Amino acid sequence: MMKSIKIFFLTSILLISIFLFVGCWNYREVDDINIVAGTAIDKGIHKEYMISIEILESSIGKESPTTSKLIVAEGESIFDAVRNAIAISGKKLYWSHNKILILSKEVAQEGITEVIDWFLRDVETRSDVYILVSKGTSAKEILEKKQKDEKIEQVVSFNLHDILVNQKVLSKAPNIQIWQLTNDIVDEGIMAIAPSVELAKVDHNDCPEILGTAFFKNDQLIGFLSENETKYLLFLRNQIKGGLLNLSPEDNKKNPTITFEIFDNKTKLQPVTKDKEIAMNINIDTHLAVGTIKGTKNYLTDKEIIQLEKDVADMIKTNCENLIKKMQSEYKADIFGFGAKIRAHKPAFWKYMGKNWENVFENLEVHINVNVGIINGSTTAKPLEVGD
Amino acid sequence: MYNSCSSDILLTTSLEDNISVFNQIFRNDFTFITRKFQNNYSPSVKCCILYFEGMADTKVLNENVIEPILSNHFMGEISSSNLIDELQYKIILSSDIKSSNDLQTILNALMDGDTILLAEGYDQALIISSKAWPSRSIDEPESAQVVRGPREGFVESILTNISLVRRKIKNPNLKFIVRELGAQTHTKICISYIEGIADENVLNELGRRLDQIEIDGILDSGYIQEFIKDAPYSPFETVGSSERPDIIAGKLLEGRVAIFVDGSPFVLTVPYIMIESFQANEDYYNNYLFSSFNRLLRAVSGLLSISIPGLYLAISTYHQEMLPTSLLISIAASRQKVPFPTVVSLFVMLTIFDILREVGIRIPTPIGQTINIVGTLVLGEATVDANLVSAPVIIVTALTSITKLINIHLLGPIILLRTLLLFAASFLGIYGFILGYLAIILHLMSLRSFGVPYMLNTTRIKDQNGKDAWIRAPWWIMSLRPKIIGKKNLRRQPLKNSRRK
Repeated sequence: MMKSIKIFFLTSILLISIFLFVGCWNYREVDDINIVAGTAIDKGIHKEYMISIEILESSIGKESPTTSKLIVAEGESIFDAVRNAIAISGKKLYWSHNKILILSKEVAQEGITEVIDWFLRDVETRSDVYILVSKGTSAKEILEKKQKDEKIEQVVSFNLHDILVNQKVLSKAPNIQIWQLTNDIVDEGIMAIAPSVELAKVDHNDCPEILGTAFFKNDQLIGFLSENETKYLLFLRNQIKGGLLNLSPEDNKKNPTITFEIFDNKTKLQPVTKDKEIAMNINIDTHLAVGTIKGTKNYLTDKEIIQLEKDVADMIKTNCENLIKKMQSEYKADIFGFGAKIRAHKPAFWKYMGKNWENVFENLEVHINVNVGIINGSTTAKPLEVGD
Repeated sequence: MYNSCSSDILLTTSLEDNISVFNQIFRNDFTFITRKFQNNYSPSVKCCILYFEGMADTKVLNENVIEPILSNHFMGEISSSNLIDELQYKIILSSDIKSSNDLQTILNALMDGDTILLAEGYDQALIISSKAWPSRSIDEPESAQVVRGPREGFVESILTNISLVRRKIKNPNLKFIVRELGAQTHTKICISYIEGIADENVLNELGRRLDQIEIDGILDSGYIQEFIKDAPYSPFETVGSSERPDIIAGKLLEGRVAIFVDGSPFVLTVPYIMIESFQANEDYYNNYLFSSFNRLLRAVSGLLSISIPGLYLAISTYHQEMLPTSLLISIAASRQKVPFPTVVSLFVMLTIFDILREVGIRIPTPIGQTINIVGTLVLGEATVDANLVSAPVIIVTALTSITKLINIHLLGPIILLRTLLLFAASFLGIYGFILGYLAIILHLMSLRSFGVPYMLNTTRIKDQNGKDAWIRAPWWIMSLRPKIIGKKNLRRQPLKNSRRK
């Protein structure tokens, strides 16, 4: 009898505790958290930083799209600002689904290690957050601009995320996640880059557009590259996965505009030493397909193709050389990773000139060799000819 | 045994005395019939037949017992020594007749539906076979219907059941050992095996376990199943049961031992291992690719039915980072305004579904459809509309319930374990879930059925072991019986068969 009473009590305690203790530790229902979609960081008005957090608002109903709202808070550090945001949002913020981190130009110019430190350190945030630098406007304004068209993603952060993920067929901006940026900052011999975002007028509406690159020296923003320069930067960093190349009459007087699609590309950096002097050999190997041809002349004969390949190679070579020259003379910032390559391949060389890399880079001799192969003319072999 | 005095009462030579002995034993029993009669030509031939109404075939008695004795001209001298022999060998028309003076034997025969013939002047009785109790016809069992395969199922009569198996295995080595269990019911049970294939150790162990049963009544094979189980507290069955003769014949051929119980259409088999829960008799009759696919479906469903609630709970309340963002948003949207924690709504919905399942079994069929409508419509649709539970919980409940019903033999363990995993996940998230799974696996691995590891053939797929486990290999390459169970005579068919293909 005593035993059965004991068993009964023990069982009931267990059963009761099942329902009592489920609220503790890390158990949290999904409706008790605010899911963060994106973050923008500006200089604060009263305090050091102003953080704008885009949180998702889910609503019941089959047709209702996911919407979002912006929470703005200030703090002396990022973590401080994030915690202050709870006072406004009410629920705890959930960071694991944060997709985007936008830094304003001012914040980036002051140095970003202090900002990204929290994103790397906290357990909830992920290191695969895409990082952006706002160019013309504050970071907060980027997150505020919603798409008027309801068919486009209503959550700005998700929209930006989609744009960045699909950059590989555009190649007008790099897509850099926070871990890559950190690696580039920490590593010797390479300077960090990040895509830049600005507001553009589309149909009389301001909406965010990701084009071009922001580049850093150590952890400070020093300048922006145009979308065209970005493409050749990606060529040199061996990060190009797709995108288009326009061979325009300015590049080559003989031809009308021909647009090529980049199929695949391989860039090899090869440091060569010669009597205590170092030079960089760059081999760019690209396969293209003809996308559009303006005009009716048939360029796809064997002889013309060889000529076209040569023209495109010249264009890539000139643009790359210009970009390298610009970085060497104007900014002294090795965003291509030449130093890192030398450090890996010629460690002895790096040892005595690594400390002085900025000056070495300025006068580094670069030889670019471009191989272009036009593999096909897509589905038609001949240009369209207007009939009678 | 029937009553205290029967063991020391002996039959006398007086017919009247003997009849009164039986009348005394079966007093207050109107179905007990005594019929006295006398031969027309020899008045000294006085007989009496005793039988139970409804258990003996009166037509047989009238035509083959009473009529021959009444009208026979007893040509030879009727002496005190030969009347019983005369009756037994020359007069009564019956295929099975024997004489006995042991009251116990006589009573047993009487209870089985046989007829007792007593004669004036003899302390012996003739036991005439006349069993004819009402019996169900041999139908396809409702618990295990098939698309392909024999459509007969066992009935409640043990003799019919034995004959159904005997018809499939025409082999003198097929043995049937009969014994009785149940102090009050005297239920016949029968151990069946194929000599030369079945393992004697299993037979001995089974005999030992049956000897230990001292219960007053056995009304279904389920009683015995629970008594001879290896791990009495485990939710998993280590004794198999089936309603189909083809399954039992198949198990016998694999070296297993079958236990028939009178009054139960469910025949038990030992040893019983885990993988048998996922095997169906149709697997062996259909194309092996299709069968293997079905078997894998059953295994995966079994796994899903215990995992889904716990896994959903762990991921949606502890590990939201594991969900794709869009899924997290839709779960969050569906949980708006839902008052209860996910673990409570899951537990309640799963319990409600089990109530519906039980109701479906218990109530008469015509009302069953109403219950279905109420269950699906009210509980599924309305609870979501009323924001009492979120839609994903309904989906999880539905998935769990569907996948659980595919393995009807594992229903008990599945319901228990899925609840265990659900609560483990509610405490510790995915860690609790994994810990729960570890406990289940440890338990399964420690189980044995009559000396055979319960998880036999599930962990290795090499060689012969895997050919009839998670998949069903083509018949021509299954040349060996299952390991350990059929170890006494492993070869099922010559190896050359498998080389031919």
